[in-house]
Amino acid sequence: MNREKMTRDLDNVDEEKFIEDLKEIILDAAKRCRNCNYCFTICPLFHSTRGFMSQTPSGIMQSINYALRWNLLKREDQEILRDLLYLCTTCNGCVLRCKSKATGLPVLDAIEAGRKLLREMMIGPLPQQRKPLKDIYLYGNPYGEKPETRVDWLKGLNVKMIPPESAEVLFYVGCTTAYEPNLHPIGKSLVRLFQYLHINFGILKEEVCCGEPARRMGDEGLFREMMTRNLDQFKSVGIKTIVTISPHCFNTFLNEYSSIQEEIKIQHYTQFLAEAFKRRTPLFKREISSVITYHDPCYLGKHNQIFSTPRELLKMIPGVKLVEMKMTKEESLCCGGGGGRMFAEVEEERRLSDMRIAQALEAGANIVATACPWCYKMLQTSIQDANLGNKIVVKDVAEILSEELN
Amino acid sequence: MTNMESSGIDRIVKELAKIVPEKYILTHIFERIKSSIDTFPYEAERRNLPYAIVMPKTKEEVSEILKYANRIRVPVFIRGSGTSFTGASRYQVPGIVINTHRMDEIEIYEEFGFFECGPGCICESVAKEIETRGFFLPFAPGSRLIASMGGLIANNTSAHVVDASIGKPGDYVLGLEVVLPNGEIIETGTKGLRRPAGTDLTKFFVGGDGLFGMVTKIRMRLVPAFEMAYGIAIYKDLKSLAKGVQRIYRERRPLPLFMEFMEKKTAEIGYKIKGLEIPKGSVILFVSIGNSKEGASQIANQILSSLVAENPIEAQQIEEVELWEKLWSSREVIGSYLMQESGNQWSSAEVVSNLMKLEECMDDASHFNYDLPVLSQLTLYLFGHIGGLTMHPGVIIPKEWDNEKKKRAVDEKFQREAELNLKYSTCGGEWGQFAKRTPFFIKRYGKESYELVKKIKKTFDPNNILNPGVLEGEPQQ
Ligand SMILES: Cc1cc2nc3c(=O)[nH]c(=O)nc-3n(C[C@H](O)[C@H](O)[C@H](O)COP(=O)(O)OP(=O)(O)OC[C@H]3O[C@@H](n4cnc5c(N)ncnc54)[C@H](O)[C@@H]3O)c2cc1C
Repeated sequence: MNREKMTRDLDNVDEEKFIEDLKEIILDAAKRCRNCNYCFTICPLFHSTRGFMSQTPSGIMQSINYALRWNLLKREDQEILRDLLYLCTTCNGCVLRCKSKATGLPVLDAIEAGRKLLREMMIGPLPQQRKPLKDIYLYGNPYGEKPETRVDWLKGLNVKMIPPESAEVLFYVGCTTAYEPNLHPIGKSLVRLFQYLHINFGILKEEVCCGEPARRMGDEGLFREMMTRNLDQFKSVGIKTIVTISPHCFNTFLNEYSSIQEEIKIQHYTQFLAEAFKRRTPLFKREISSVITYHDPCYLGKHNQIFSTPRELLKMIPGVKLVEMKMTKEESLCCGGGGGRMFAEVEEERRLSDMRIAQALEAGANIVATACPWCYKMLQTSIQDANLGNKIVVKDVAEILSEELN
Repeated sequence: MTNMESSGIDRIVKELAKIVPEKYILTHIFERIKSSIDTFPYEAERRNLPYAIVMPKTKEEVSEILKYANRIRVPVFIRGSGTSFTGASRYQVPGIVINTHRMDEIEIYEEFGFFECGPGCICESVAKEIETRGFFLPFAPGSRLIASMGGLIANNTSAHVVDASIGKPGDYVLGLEVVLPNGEIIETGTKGLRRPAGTDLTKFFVGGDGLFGMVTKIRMRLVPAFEMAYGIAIYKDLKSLAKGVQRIYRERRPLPLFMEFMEKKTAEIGYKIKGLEIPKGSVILFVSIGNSKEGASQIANQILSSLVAENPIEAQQIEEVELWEKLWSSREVIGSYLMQESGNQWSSAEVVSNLMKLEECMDDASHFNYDLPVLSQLTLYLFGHIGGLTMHPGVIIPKEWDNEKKKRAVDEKFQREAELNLKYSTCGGEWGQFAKRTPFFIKRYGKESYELVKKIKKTFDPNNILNPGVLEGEPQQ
């Protein structure tokens, strides 16, 4: 409801009202917060920072609340407040916990409202996050890569380019998979799976960022601009279904773009494949002997309650042994890449992705599967840094399926 | 002790940084606020904010911090998760806060029959750790998901557990490691499975309200998990419900591990959220334990036979686990549902009855707020741990009320709680004894007793460094 309100008011470009609304979201949530601190233990920060009280969901929310109420936005407090607000990975765990056990507060909306407010006041985002935002604005991706090289990875794959061609399904690749060479196998696997399933699909010739990182980092104006650019494109090419690789793009189209959901079906690729496999049962070439654990990406799981679909897909492979980590599904531990943190080094006692790999090993897995390019990158970095490549590898669900298909 | 100039605070931080790495010390305003507020619905006060928050890892670091605090006469507040319900975690003067969360190691010594944990361990994590090995954590606060073991031991709260069934946490504490306020480190108790006879210093710290020392390690007996059986009884009125509970004790039934109740209006809310058919009266839900399923079930039947004698509308065992889970969580989620529905904060008291007068006490609890100037403006809800003869009458405090009115509401709550517990010659079995409850302590046990506690405190803590304000009690409005 708060999000709708923010979006609606931006349409009127009434800046003062926009700021007042942001403040109201924060003050209202914080006033209702009972400081029961239930949100602490579900929060990745409680596990990755040192357990200071301000570095928790209600701690961050109370910080911005008191900053407003006690007028603490002075110079020396500004940066501290900014660093606290941008610590959050926006995993949504606190929202679920507060809903099931406590007051049911929009904790994340309050934190994000705080980021937007700081951005408006030129205090946020974190210094390292400025460049990716500028890059989204200039190049349509947060990595500063050239727009014309975005589809280079598709060479020789015989995929339709929209426009001039048209297709039933728009395969929205997303910036990270498009530009990161070691993630290209994920994109290619999906192309292979779509072709195997005879899907009439294509890729936007001039795909641009969905704007998610901008919104997470508090840049509402940039987010709106990317939304408009994307909506215009979607409309002009007459798309009916969008399938994304990244749960972040998926969540953005599904829950944050206004007035698209009625006309366009938005699916994460795991949902799309699960439906398609019902129509055409996949044939796998062999039994596999891997022990797989599935890491829930927050924007698929905790934000959109898609927990079982990716697991069901993996279970289709003969011989597969699926094990669960200590923290799983609603209680899953974030990899640390969400909420704009992909673009900033945040000081932590323990890196979340390192803890996650330790949990995967503890569960006895030799493959940690996921369905998000950022989770993939974070987990892969941890495996490499700890030289654990001989014990465990990270793979995307799409990669695993594609490798095992006959 | 008054507020310090910022140069003084810098000096404190400099000294603390000689004891723990600097990254474990925070002095920014936001940490100082969040580290000194609690569940009370009113705002923090600037003049009471702590100077610094420090996170030691070892007992030696704790010792050095306390020695330093004694040298410069600065208060030290121990903070677990800050969820105290008595005001013990809402400091009334500035000082240094020791956050215990880094002291979070747990070691399970099955061959010795105990586990040891740091005070910063979260109850839920300890429970999960030992449950996977077939043991059971013998206490169950509503705050299990967040409360620290140190906070729990300082309060010695049996919480939702029926004391007379398996006792209080202290009954399982074999020994402690404690840093005294002067910085001396002591060990109490035993590594055997028999708790010491005679004088055992453990007792000063278990349920010591954090007055006499900082617990830095807790050793507790490993309790094998039991089998459980579940039961329900619904009564037309609270009087018969109370009589049913009295019968369980009087008829010498084995006591249930948990026995909760909800008055009809409250139960209706819980049932509604869980999609259950609205109950026809006030509800009792209980869990009996045994070494086998049959054993637990037999005990449940014995309990039911007492409950049935007071003519409930319904009384039976619940065998379907899914149904039981719905019923049980209808009680568990009530507070949160009330908060979610109203958008405001829950606040309750702890009224404890004696066995003899349970009916009357129940009646008092259900009229808890009728004549109180502020609280009578609000609707009363009633539930509690009836097996432990405990009732939690509570209200939803509107967020629109100003700080002063909210404070008056909280004070009225504690005053009425005190009156009723005095009337029944009981005392709170949860949350701890002091802070907002200090006036009750003085009335209940007399000035002599209170002076005695003060003298004990002085023996342990001559400079009143540790948790000042808790024993003195918060000034009432
Ligand atoms: C939603 C909710 C439900 C609750 N349910 C219950 C319940 O069912 N029963 C119940 O009794 N309480 C309950 N409480 C109150 C509270 O959670 C408990 O009293 C709990 O024991 C406090 O733990 P804490 O870690 O938060 O302690 P804190 O609030 O941090 O500290 C409480 C006191 O213990 C002292 N202390 C903490 N650690 C140490 C240590 N290492 N050594 C010495 N002293 C120490 C502190 O100085 C302070 O005086 C609930 C609270 C909430 C928010």
